[in-house]
Amino acid sequence: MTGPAPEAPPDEPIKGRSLWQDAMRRLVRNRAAVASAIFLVLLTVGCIAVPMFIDHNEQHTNAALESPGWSEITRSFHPFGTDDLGRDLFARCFYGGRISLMIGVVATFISIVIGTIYGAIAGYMGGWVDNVMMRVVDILYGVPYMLVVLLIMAAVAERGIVPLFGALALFQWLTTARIVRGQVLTFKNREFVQAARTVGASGPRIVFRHLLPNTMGPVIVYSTLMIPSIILQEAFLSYLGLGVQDPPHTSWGLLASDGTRAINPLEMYWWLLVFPALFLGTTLLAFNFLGDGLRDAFDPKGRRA
Amino acid sequence: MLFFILRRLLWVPLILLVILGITTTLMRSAPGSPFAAEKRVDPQIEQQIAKKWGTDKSGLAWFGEYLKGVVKGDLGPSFKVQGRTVNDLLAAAMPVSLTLGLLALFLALAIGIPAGFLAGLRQNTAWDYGSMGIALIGISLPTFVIGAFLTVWLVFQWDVLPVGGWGTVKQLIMPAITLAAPFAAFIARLSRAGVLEVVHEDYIRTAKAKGLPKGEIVLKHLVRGAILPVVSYLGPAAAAILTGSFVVEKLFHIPGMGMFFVNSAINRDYSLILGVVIVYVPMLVVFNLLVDVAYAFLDPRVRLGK
Repeated sequence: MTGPAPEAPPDEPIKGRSLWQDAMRRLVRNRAAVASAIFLVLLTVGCIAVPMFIDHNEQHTNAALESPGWSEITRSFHPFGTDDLGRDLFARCFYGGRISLMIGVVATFISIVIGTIYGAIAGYMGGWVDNVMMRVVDILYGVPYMLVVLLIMAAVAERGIVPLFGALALFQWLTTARIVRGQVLTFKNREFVQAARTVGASGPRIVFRHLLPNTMGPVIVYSTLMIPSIILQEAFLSYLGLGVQDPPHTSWGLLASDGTRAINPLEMYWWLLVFPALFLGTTLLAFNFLGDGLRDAFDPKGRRA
Repeated sequence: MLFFILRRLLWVPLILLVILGITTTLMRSAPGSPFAAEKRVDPQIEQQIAKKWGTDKSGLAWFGEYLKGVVKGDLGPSFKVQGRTVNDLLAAAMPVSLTLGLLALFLALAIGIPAGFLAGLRQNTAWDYGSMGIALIGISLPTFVIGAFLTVWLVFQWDVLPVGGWGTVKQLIMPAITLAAPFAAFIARLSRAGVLEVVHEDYIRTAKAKGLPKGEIVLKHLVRGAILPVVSYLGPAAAAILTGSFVVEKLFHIPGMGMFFVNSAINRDYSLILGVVIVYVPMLVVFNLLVDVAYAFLDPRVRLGK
């Protein structure tokens, strides 16, 4: 998804700036988007690296609920404190990030692939095929989808990460399908497609080589905004106790929802809520900034500004 | 126009039927049953229970029986809440969710639209960054975290509001804010985008060239077009906000119907699951219809019914 755009066909004589180069130039000028992208890269590296060095499941039951700082009991430094089982919250936040980011990215990728193929077929075929396919999408839109996700999550015996991908991606592809179909419809009667057809290009070749690259702009924008929404949905499932299972896994949503339970008028274990919420919030903020930046960059009207 | 509305309304039962069918297929084919218990139950007793509830029949036969009841306005007894019918449960919970939902919807619009317009009209100023920053935080935190922070501040630290419950006006405030927050944030972003979309249009330039005062341009010309993205979002958003939120209801101990969405699915309470669908789907379709009608009023280029 994040790979470079297909290069302009080599037989193109004039070296013009493509839509992509234009968009990238505009994106780089957007400071919030660039900062967000850098933040997300650093965060991803941290989420991969930190759990390799600190064990997020190592329990020190005698050092439970230590506030952030140096702990005499474990004789080590816990920048974010420890949880009710004496596990280091710093390591858990980064490990939780691994799971949350992975769920967000993979579920988004699945639904983008499904939605793109579905929308491209509907748009390219047109006629009654398009009609039937889009009515199916309309009806699925009406299904209260959290109900279905919950049915699935409550039904699977082993609540691993894989069923989560499936359940969360299940209804997300609908909007992608609509976007891609709309894009394909606007492009399929353009001259370059007619030209491809006249030289005898096959249907699939026209769709994959000529139409889809042109639809990718809006799709990438949409997927950058889909990742945070899926991470939020995973957080909601974790709040219901239907997300990933702890131990061995955890996620930002699960950490934050455990954190909300650690808040009461008598004793404020604030760090259990604040740090996971901070990770979750800043990451989602960064994705949203990046998504907004990409949308502005791909918007042809943006050139006016 | 009237014909268009009637035709769309005629589709409601059919759409509902299809979605009920899909939901029934999913819930009947998902493993687990409403009667699954920790204890091992004698197979004969199990059969008796299944017979009493009709779950021994095939999915289609069960669905047929169920639909017969629905046509008569009887949504059947709840599988899990003993001695209560789904009609009872919904009748008790719906007014609660509607009250809270309407208040939250009003809040979301009252905060979101002015914030979005301000940001859009003063693009790239401190107003823009400030309100959009707050809006982004609103959609970047899960509802349960926002609710928890509100509880800490307003209840534990300042002690100005009750922790939860239902019945007094004070008890309404915190859940309404929590429920409204993500919607307000979305509405703010959409109305900002709407303003930016319209502000360069020719008809706005014409209005400026005529020398109309700025306030009049905004109120008479800009609002109509700029509000369109918000209007189309309001269809699904109103259906969602008025049918309650599980998180808000759980956090603040509110007896609304958001609970049903979650509990019915987890407990395999077949009749309650379908009851929730029967409330939600027509609401969604009707709100989307209202959106289309509103579009025709707001945007003179839109004509309904081809």
